[in-house]
Amino acid sequence: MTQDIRGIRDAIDPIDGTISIVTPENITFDYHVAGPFQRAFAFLIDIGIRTAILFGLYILTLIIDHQLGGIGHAIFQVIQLIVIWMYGILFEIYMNGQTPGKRMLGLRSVTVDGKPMNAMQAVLRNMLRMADTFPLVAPAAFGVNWGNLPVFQLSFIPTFMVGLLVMSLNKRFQRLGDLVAGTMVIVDQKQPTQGLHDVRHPTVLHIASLLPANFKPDQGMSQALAHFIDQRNRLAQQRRDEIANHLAEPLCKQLKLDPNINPDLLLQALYYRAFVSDAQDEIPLTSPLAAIVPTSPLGYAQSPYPQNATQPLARQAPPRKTPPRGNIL
Amino acid sequence: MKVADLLAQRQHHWQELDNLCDTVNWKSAKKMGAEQLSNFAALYRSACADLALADSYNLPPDTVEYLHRLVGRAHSRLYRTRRFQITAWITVLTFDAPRQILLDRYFWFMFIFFYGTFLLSAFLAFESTYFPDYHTQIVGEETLLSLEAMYTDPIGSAESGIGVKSNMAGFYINHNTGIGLVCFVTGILIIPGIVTTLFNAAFLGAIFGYMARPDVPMTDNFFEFVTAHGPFELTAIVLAAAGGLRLGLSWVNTNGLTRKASLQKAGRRCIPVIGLSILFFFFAAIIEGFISPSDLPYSFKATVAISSAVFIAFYILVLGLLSALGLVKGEQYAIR
Repeated sequence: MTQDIRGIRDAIDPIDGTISIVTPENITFDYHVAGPFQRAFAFLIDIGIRTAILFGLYILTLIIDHQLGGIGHAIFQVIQLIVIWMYGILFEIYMNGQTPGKRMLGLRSVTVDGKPMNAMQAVLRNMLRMADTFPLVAPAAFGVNWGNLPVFQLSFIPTFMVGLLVMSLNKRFQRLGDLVAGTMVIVDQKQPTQGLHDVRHPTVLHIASLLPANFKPDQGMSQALAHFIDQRNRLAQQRRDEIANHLAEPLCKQLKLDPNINPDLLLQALYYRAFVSDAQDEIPLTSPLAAIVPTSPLGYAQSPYPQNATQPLARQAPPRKTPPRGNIL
Repeated sequence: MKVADLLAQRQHHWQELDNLCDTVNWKSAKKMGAEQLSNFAALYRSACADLALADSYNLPPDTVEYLHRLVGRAHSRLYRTRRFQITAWITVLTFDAPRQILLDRYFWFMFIFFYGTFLLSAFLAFESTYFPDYHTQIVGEETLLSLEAMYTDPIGSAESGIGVKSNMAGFYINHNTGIGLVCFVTGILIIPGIVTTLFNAAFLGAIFGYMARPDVPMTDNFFEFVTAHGPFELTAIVLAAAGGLRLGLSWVNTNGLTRKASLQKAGRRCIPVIGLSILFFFFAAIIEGFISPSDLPYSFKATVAISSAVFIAFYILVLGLLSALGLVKGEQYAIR
């Protein structure tokens, strides 16, 4: 992802849907761009809230109307106009690019270069939402007949086809209003996971101590190890071994280790060496390690395999199938 | 330094920033207090530094991802949306908007197109000897009947009650504003925009023409209702349609820009027109809600209509001309 000087056209990653932003602090970070269906749910919540507000106001009008004798309805209609058209505009200006629906779902509208919107852009993108709802279809087209009141005669169902079409034609999922205003909607959510995984199993620590003292995984290998450790909780033991073997086999040869070491355990030991400690002492349970274990609710603090604590160090005589040999390395 | 030690050192800072991000979302900056605010800024900068050095620290990928999210969250809270700048908007509306509208060929095209169609349609509906069925073909039998029913009773009369009338007025406020907005937003798709504007002009013209026929009994009631808010509302529709046309043609005739850039440029250009259109719709809505359905004398309603027409003419022609000739100038604001 290179940052070109003219703009941020090249900063979009079409695979992950992320977009790179350069901040005034002169660092680059990635935003996730929100897709049409995340946004549709936020919009539905907003519609619900708007309807609730209008309903409340209407009840209030009926009460006041009784006292004022008729003028209440006119006031209500003017207020209704303001609520319907200013809802998105005012919330996005005063809640920093979020409407209540967007806040609930963790979305935010910002300019295409990641800066906050200004009032002008909020007005434009909210006014033009209507163009995105086209084509409007009369309920009669589906054979629905609600009645002959002018309210029903003049109501149309928005299909949002223009919005969807335009969104699918650009990488930032901008609808027509976003394109004109130069805005986009990004995901602004907390990510719960952070920190390292706890691999302090006695066997792992033992293997780590067997590794040559001068061996250090380089950056590429560390990243690969971290990816593996991230994913291994979701995999069955055989699959872990199979994946780990691609790296473990050549490494065993290179480091002159016992080729029967369980590849999964070896990778955990390498992870330990790369990220946690260089210490050669066998079981450093009093190390500052306790501090790095995140206490997140998702269970990252737990030992990856509490159930098979008595796992053997070396492979037993092969009761299981030999993993397929792929020579990726 | 190992990643584990680094994380042990940094992690509680990140956690704190994360929690502050939640607080900032709901509290205004004033309520947070200076200490917390400067703390937020300091934590944000250090998180930025950590992210920038993530590669050389050799942080694991999901920590890097976490930092991206954290910095993004803090960034979008630190740099905030600007509020409406009232002075800037007033300057734009008094000096820039009339000049732009006066020099706006899209506006004049739409002005002539809309009022031309309107008057032609009104004439066709009025002329009962040569075109006896024109109005029913355009407006439709049912709508015409409900319109006639609506204007049978005198405006503000005791039987119908002001409640019913202002209720109807309210419905038409929404409806007519809707028409204007539809003219604007369909304008971006050019053909639907032209068709919508054409249809609305013909529709309104046909109603006006038909109601003006000497043999139609509810003429007085009708004109008593529509006169007061007419100028603002019709002009607002023209303005909205002109803004839409500008947007629509901008992505066809790009003048060498990319289509997107051209569209965005037109978006900025049509802001004053749209702002004015909204303002006019709002004026029209207030008049339509409170003056039109009331039992005030017709002379008063006519005065309102004439003075609003004079106001619009003064605004666009006189203010626009003065501004175009450089005789009056507001302070130069960049409108945001």
